[in-house]
Amino acid sequence: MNAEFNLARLGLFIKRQLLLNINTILIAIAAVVGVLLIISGLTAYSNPNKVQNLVPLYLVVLFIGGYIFTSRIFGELHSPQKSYTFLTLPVSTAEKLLGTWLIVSPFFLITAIAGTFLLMYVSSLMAGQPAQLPSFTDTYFTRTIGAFWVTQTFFFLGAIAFRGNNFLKTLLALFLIAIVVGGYAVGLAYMLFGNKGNLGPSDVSGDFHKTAEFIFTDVVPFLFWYVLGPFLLVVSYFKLKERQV
Amino acid sequence: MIKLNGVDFRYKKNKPLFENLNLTLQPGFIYGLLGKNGAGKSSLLKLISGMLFPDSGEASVFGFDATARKPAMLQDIYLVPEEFNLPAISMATYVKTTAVFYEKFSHNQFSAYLAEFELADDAKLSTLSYGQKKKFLIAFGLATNARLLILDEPTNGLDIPSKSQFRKIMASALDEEKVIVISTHQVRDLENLIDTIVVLENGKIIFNQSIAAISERLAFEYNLNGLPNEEIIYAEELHGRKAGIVRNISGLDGRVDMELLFNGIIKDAGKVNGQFAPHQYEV
Repeated sequence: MNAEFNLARLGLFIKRQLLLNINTILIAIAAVVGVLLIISGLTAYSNPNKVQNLVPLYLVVLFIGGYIFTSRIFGELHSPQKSYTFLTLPVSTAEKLLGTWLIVSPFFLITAIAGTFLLMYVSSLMAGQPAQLPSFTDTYFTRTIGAFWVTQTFFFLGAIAFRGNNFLKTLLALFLIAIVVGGYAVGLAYMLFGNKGNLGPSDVSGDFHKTAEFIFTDVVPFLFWYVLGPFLLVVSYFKLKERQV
Repeated sequence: MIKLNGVDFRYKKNKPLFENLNLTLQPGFIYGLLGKNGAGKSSLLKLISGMLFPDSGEASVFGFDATARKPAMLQDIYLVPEEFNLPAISMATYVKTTAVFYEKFSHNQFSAYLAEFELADDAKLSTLSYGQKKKFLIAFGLATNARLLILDEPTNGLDIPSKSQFRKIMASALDEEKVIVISTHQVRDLENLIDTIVVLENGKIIFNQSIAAISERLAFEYNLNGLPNEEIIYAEELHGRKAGIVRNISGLDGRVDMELLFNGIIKDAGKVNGQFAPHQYEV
């Protein structure tokens, strides 16, 4: 088991992380499912025809719960009295990163989606309606889950980079990034178009229009869906590798 | 072998802790790392175990760069820190989830150490006292059979019988492949246990000698009355008498009083080191 990456050791690391955190995970699941069951039960009782409207609520809970869970996953690393165990555990940085990501991303998503389906099924039963389960082929549903998968990597990086209050600090960092990017975009637009107010197709050249369309319909979505997540995971790897007590 | 070579380290930009620090630790010995509060003992141990990175210079452990924290190196290091927080799980679960990463972990040895420390192996970690938790960690660390065992203030929190058990276990655990580093303020707890004394002061190693060399060159006297001043290397008041360190001119090896030695080194390291020729300490 001395290689830098070993599947058996990865499995043992995942098992360790789950066993050490199992009580917290179970309490969190019980609390969230309990609250959602009450809301679903009330909805099924008062508006039996609108149980389908519960899906967005479930997804919001999945997003927020997932971000918070992700932000807390490296708690052992940030506790002065526990970090030595995590840092000196004979597991490589790549295995620690991948093992932890597997827990907060695919494992969490599978559990959360299964919970969403179960809650929808129970709500439909309580409402006396035929079960209206979200479909995996539903574009809205799959794109929402995909968006979670990508945006969660921000919180994964924040979980490693910040010491304490990781969720709130990541939110603050995202807010600041949004302000900077927004400010840059406004400044750029001002430099290009001045005080023209509403812009029409006649205000820009054909080439500019094509370039802008290419950037916003091809480049930006490509960067978001395929580059952003892996990039943030690579940055997370180096942050973890260089982490000291 | 553990080697620190030209290590510079600082927590704050303009306040270096270690500058050009050199230290070599050989297998088969128990090293006592002594120093006052804030001397840098814990930081030195963290540099050796790869938890802190030198600003320059290198820290190597059995040929590995400590900062790379490779699993092959980490399997051969076990650190028992001064302050720790164990998860609220049973001992059995802890062992089941953690021992698997140490190829040389021996469950038989672990059970034997627990028995020696009078710890029940079915206890929940959160129900143990601080001293019991420390004994559990020491037993676990020894059972990993890591070649480098680092103990930061291991006797803090141990009662008197446990300190005796600790000394007995540590003495029996050493073999020719292992390096054991024990950092402590409580120098008397290490008497008859350590082979080499390393003293750290203000980020510098001011003394590094084996117990054999110390007992050959120095003698520890508890009544210095009548001895000429030039014979006395260090003196202090002890229960109304003058105790201290003198040159060992008898040629017989005597008992090393670590507390007197430590006080003497802190007061005037140059004078104590002057008794050892050639100077073997590394600065």
